[in-house]
Formats: sequence, structure tokens, C-alpha cells
Amino acid sequence: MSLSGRRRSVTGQTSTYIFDLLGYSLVISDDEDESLAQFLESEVLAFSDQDEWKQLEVEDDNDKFGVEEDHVTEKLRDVKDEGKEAAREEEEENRGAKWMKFEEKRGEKKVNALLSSQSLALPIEFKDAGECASSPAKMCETRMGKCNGASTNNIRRAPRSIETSILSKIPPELLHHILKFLSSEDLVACSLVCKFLNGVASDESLWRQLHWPTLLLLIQLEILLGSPQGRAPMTTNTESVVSQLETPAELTAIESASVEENQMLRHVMAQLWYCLRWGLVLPTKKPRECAWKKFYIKRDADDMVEFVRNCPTELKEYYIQMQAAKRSQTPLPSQSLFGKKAKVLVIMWSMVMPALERHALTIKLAMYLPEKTGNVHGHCFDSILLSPDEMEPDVDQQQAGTTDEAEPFMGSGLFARAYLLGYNCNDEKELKAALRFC
Amino acid sequence: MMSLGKLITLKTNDNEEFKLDKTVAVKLEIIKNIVQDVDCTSNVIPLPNIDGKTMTKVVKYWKKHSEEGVTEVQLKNFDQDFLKMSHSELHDVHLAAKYLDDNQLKEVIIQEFLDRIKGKPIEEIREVFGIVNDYTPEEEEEVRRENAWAFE
Repeated sequence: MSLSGRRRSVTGQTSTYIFDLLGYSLVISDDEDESLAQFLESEVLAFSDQDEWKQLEVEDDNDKFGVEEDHVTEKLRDVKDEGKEAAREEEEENRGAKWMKFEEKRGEKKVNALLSSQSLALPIEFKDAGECASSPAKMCETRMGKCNGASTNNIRRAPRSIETSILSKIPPELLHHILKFLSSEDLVACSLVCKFLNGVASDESLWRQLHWPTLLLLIQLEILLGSPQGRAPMTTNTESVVSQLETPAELTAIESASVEENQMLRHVMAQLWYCLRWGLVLPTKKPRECAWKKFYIKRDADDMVEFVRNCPTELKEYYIQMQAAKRSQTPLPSQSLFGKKAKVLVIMWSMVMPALERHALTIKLAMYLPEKTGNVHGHCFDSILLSPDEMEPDVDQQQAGTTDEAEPFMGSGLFARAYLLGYNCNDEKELKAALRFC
Repeated sequence: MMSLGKLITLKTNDNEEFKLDKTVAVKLEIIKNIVQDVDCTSNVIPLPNIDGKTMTKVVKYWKKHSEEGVTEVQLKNFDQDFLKMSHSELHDVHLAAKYLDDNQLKEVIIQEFLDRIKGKPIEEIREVFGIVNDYTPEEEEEVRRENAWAFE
């Protein structure tokens, strides 16, 4: 299915939304939105499945089983495809023997079915060892490990920590799905419980989605109020502004903020976009650990300092409590926040900045994942993040396009500039330099 | 195709059989598809991934939720009672719901899991889920530092 061909029709439909929004009335035709949703879903679902594998691998760095299981499945498939029945039988027998040894060694201890749900997809089923029947994936994986003689360490090390808990029995993707609904505060609590949970709860996509309210807010402000340069129509108090998202018509009533505050917001925006593109990569090309999590905690601290700085001394306690209450906010407070309005906003945004349409489209697609498939926004971004090379030509084009003009950001709003600054930076040095001008 | 018998029989992996009214069963996509695809001579649908104990619970849930004339409050109370089970049972039902592609049941269970984690201090989470702290003191300090909130 050609995406570009269908894209035109999407842009066509968006004009209706624009019209609605320009009138400051966010009345969306349900039918249209539904059809759009269906179309996008059909596009997205095609690759969301593949992404799920990636996601699983990323999910827990300590958990090498995820990767290994892939490996095993592949091997098993190979065997099957070649149709070497004899070889397969032999191998199975061989494994069976090893398994017996393994079981003796482990005594009555049950191997946790960490990967049991994926086991449904495994081509070969093992019928022995009744109580382990629910986890053939794991079984054959450990057997494989024995055969290879490579992962004895894994057998000893990994199950120890995951065996201790019922949570570990939950397959990774389900656990991820559960944690997705936790607030930042609870995620931090989970991190401290044990190593296994720390790995799962530090997952990038979980923290990335916690940034969404801010990002959407900035996008919205950009669209509705953006363009006139130097205009400063927003506050740093994200709490009150987030609730404005529900009633955008009142946005005009937002008080003006100082130039300083505005600058800070733009910094956040630029950093967010920088993270979107380079969040997983350090200048040294090594994966950056928990970039989103660190960024979230850092931003929380910054917000707190900013928030408390100007408050009357006697009320400081209460201000801190108010700000801290935000941490227990769940990432998906209401479907509507991440639902139609968010979609409309991003679609609109893509119209405002045609040059960036491609990226906005990706975001737009990502919007549909959490609702329809229970996946996190992350998937689509991962496709950006994991393949920066692919993006290069496009980015170069943008840069070439913008440097041709005398004033590169002419006509764009404040956050469009921040977007370009943050997104086009190649390393943190450049980002810092760019932030000076923003 | 299946119009002859109104009952559909589901057979779990430990050979327990559940007879379900067709109207209840076809609410689930997966069963509907099987009913449409499989020829009608064998009315038994095997469920190789679910055991009888779990299936009893799932069927109980389905039956209650497809009853007519049940008020919202009654359903809520039923759900509350329904979810009073151990973690491993809950997990089994979750897996079954996933296998049967029952989104409603899945959501209910995820919510329950969430409620068991939400807003609890670390020690309590450990206790509730029977997790042993596998950090060394130094490691724990390190993680604590990494996850520290400002002004706490």
C-alpha cells in the first residue's frame, strides 16, 4: 500500500479540522474522525506488529531471554522450513535428554513462564513436564542454551531475580501494558522494588509518553496563538494550561508571560525534539541510558524550582505539595486528551508547517496506537529513533531549504523554531549553542 | 451453520467441557471466527492454552456480563468479587483473556493490577507481590539517587 498516495486524501480531510479549529470550536465530526482513524489504523497496524518485537527486545536490557528467544524461534523455524524431519527428531531427542539433566539440577523448582504468551506462536510444542507445559518457549530456550553451552550463566542468574515474583510471570508485553498506566511516581517506586522491575519500569517508551501532555500543549499553543513574533501568550504553569487543553476556546484568556518564561518553554520544546530524534544516541554513538526518564526527572526538578521561586515564603510548603501532586498524575488521564483533540492538533500542526509534514504524520500515526492496539506512542518514534540514517536525506533537505532563505524561520511560530533547532541538532554541543539563540 | 445446536462446547486442556449459549460465545471474535471456520459436525472447540479452573472464572464473568436486566451497580459489585483472587489466578485469567482476545476482561484485570501497585510505598509493593529485594545496599543507594525527586 503506498503511503504517499493515501496521504493526500488525509490532508484533504484535515482542512475540515482546520476550519473547525480556526473558529475556536473543537467540534469534530465523529464519522469523519472514525473513518480517518480506521484508515490510519490500517496503515499503522501493518507495521506495529513488527515493532512489537523490537519493543520487546528493548524492554529489558537485563533480560537476555527476549533476544535469545527470537534466536531460538528462528532456529526452530529454519529446521522446520528445511523439512529435515529426521534431523529435527534427533535434535529434539537430544534436547530432551539435556532437559532431563537440567530438570534434575533444578529439582522441583518451576521455571517461570516469562515468555509463555509468545509460546503460542512457537512451531514445536512440547508435551512433557506437565507443569511447565505453559512455557514451552522458555523450556526450549533453556534447552537451546544448554546445547550451545553458552547461556548457563543466564539460567543461573536471570531466573533468580524474576522467579521471586508473580509479576515476573506476566509476559513482558503485558507487564509493559500494565505499567503504561502508572504515573511517574509509581514508576519510580517500581524501579526501587527490584532489579527486574527497575528494568521494565525504566523503559523508554513509558517515560516518553509522560512528556506528551507538555508536548501537545506546546503544539496547541503554537497553532492557536503562535505566529506573531515576540508575542508571549503563555504561562509556565503547565498545570492550569493542561486543563485548558480540554477547553481550547478559553485559551485566549491566558495571561501573558514574561519573555523569560517564554524562553524556558522554548528550551523545553527544543530539548524535547532533540530527545525525539537523538534520545537514544550519545555523541559517542552509544545508546543513552534512560534518556527520557532522566529528562523527565530533570524537568520535574526545573519546574519545581521555577514554581517555588516566586511563591511567598509562608506558602512554600503548599506550593511544593501542589507541584509534587503532578507526579501522581497518570499518563492517560482521559482518552480525550490523547484522543481526537490531540490528533486534530497534530494534523493541524502538520498543515501549519508543511516542510515538517512527514514527521508530523509519523506523530499522527503514533497517536492511534495507544487507543486501538494498546501499544505505546513509542513505536512510531522508535522507527525514527532507531534509524537516524534513514532520516538523513530528509533532514539535509530541510537544512538546505532553510538556509537558502535569508531568515530561515520567517513565518514560523516560536515553537516551530524550537522544533527546528532541537530537531536539527546533531549533538548536545550544537543543541546548547542553538538554545542560546532561541 | 451452527444453527442446529444453540450450545457451543468449549474444551480446555484438562478435558473439562463448558457448554455456552451461542449468543454468549459469539461475542468474542475468536470464538465467532472458529465457529464460522470449523465445520459444524464437531461442536467442540478446543482451548489448548486454558485450564478448567481459569475457564470456570472466565465463563462466570461472561455469563454475568451477558445477562439481561443486570444493573450497573450489580455488575460493579460482581466485578469486585470476581477480582478477589490471588496474583497467579489473576495472571492466569489475564492470559486466558489475552488468548481469547477479550478486551473487556483484559481491561478489568489490568485495572486490578494497577490498583494493586498504585500509590503504594516500595516496601508494600514488595510485600504484595512477594518480591525479594535483590539490590545490594550500594546499588539501592545508586538507584535511589537516580530516581530522586526534587524537594522530597
